[in-house]
Amino acid sequence: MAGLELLSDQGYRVDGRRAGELRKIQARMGVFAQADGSAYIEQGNTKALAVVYGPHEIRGSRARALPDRALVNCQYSSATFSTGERKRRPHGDRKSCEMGLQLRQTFEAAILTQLHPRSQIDIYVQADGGTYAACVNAATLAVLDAGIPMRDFVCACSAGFVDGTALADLSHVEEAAGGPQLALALLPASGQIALLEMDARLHEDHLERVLEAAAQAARDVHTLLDRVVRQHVREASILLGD
Amino acid sequence: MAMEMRLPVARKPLSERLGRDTKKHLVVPGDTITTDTGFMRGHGTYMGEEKLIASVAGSVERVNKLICVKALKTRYIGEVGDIVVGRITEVQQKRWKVETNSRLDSVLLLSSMNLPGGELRRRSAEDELAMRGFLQEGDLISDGQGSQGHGSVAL
Repeated sequence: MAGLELLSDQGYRVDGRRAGELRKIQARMGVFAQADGSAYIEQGNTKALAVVYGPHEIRGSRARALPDRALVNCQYSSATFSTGERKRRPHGDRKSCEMGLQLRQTFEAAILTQLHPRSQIDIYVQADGGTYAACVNAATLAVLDAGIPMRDFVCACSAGFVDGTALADLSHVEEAAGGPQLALALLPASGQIALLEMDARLHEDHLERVLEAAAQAARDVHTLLDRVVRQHVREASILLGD
Repeated sequence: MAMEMRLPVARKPLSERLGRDTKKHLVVPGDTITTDTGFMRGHGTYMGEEKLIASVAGSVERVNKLICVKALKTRYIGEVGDIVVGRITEVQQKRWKVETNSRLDSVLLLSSMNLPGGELRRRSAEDELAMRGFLQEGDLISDGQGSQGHGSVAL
């Protein structure tokens, strides 16, 4: 794209951030009373809403029941007004299915599924870049809000590579520019990776740096989410009484 | 006529307003509760690399040697003696499945139901066939006994 510099000579990105800086994150837990758990997160202009129902009895075909674990079901849908062009089909298209599958893989790694027969997680997103990361962060808060046991938080962030520098937390403009992008979901306490996804071409020499930038950004997200959850738990326990 | 008007101001966080410092140990998943291996682990915790780690967000409760984390919000967990209200979801062989907003559907056995003609009567095949006459899908019931059986509540 002529004239659009993703990284200026002084090291500033299009929206004025430095290479390793995250967008502003705001999060709230418990936004819906009727769901077991719910959370809302804003990462820059990307907004994600996650709602969790469960664990509950398997509805529909009994044959899908796993004898020793819970079944995690994720659905991703984006609002029709959320992308540049109005989307006619909010769910069922390939990208939504793929996102749902990735979310399911991420959370099956984090939720202690052996303790329950079934949980279901539905996630709804409005996007400006970084949809996977926002979905995972919102879903983590929602699962926490529902009281479903998890190994640890799952914090996610995207990272890209421009002009020899690894950029953390890409916005829509940076994603649309077409460079390599990596999405990482991390369990911060143990440093284990729940999901790593990239479908672009990147030289293997650069992979280490981009991965490290994404991991550091995910840990920063964890610091923020941790603060939000502790504040919520403290307020709720005061309201519930001693 | 005098009128008082107040402009909207940002709400102060709750802990400041009540001014109380809660003495409970509050944890989030991934937090280490203790590295002492002498404790028995209860609900809401799991063992990871010789440390007791919390798996839900809530307050730590310690009863002698048992440590558990009580989550802020969970589905209904049945206790003996609770009175519950539920709705029948399914009629199966010799039992009904009742929805009580818990982790699994609760179970109401035909043998635990008081049938006309005496309580100690053995349940026959006719009783099974007549089950639908007593309770159908969508009926609302309330029951005063409860016991836990492998995760589901038996009414």
